Amino acid sequence: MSDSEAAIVLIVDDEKDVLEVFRRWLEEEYEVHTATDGAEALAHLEENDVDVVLLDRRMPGLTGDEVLERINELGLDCKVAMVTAVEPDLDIIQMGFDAYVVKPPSYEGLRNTIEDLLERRQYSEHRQEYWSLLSKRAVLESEASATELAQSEEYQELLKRIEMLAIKLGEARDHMGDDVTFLSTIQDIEGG
Amino acid sequence: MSFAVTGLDDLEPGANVLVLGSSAEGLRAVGLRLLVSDGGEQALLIETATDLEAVVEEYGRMAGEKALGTLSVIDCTGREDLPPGIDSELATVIDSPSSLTDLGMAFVAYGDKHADATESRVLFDAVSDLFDHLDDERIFEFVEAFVGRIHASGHVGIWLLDSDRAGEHAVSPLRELFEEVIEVREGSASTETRVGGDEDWTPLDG
Repeated sequence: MSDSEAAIVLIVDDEKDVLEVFRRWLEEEYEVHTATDGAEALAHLEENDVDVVLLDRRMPGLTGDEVLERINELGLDCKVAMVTAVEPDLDIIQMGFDAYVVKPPSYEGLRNTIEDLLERRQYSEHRQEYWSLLSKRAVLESEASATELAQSEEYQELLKRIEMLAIKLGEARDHMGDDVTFLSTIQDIEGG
Repeated sequence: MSFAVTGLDDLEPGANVLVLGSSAEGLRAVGLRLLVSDGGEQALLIETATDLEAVVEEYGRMAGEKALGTLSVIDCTGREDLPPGIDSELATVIDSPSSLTDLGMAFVAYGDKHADATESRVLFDAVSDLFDHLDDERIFEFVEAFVGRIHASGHVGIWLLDSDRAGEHAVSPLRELFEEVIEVREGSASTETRVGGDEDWTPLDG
């Protein structure tokens, strides 16, 4: 997703009324796609560059849990919010979803969840970039003299970018206070 | 919270401190000294190597038997028996330090159990052990997220890193994640520390 394009949100629910309500809420801000069962959702995900999936947990045919399992097996690069009837136990975070939404969600609640997931996606990209630039800096500093570094435009640019990323990551730290955010982040890191 | 290491000012809740050096014994001495509370805060020891007995014994010696009884422990070596003096209700055992999600879950559970006492001291002994299990990037990302969790929870995190085991190129990025860095070395007479890039080393007394 580039900055100028709207994020793609895939809504998966067997109830057409629910799909319509969600679509009306979200279509102004996001590119909304829909699927009415798990098989359709998976086919859609393999062909489209979806950013966020709102996945109903209880559906006939493939359940939300099974779709999630397939998403993780395939290593698809999207964030998944489970839409559930009851608040899930934290233990099932092991299933590998990134957030949950308790039915029926409010407009604000749904929008906040999506924005949060998009932010976290960016956060993990920033974290990876931060590491790679800090590693690069470490190599440069061990190979070049202080004078050479002071004159190197590349090194100065690197320092600026590192400083910018440090600020962005610092701002994201407070999100780690949320259990699901923290655990799904750790799980993504463990999964590589 | 205040800390008994020369040059280290009081730390705000949410701060993370890196204890860095090539002497495993020195790192542990400094780490335990920082873990011992002066204001009744909770303490959590996350142990990633197999010598929990020795660490717990040293903590008991420094903090007293009563403090030992309230020490929470996350052991990451799959051990079957806990050292004497540890309350089994306050201990969690996971298989390996590479089981990052299990470690995260245990840390969340620790927070839930002590929800009424938000401030606590958390000793991670040691980041360097992770290098036996995970690559440099994975370790960096894990520490970044975990440091963020400690920050958001208002604890103080104390992280031990053996620079010889991590390697120079891994240490430099990790340093950036911490508010304070305490360097540790073995001096001619005793373990010595210096804080925040000071020039002078100070003996760690007693």
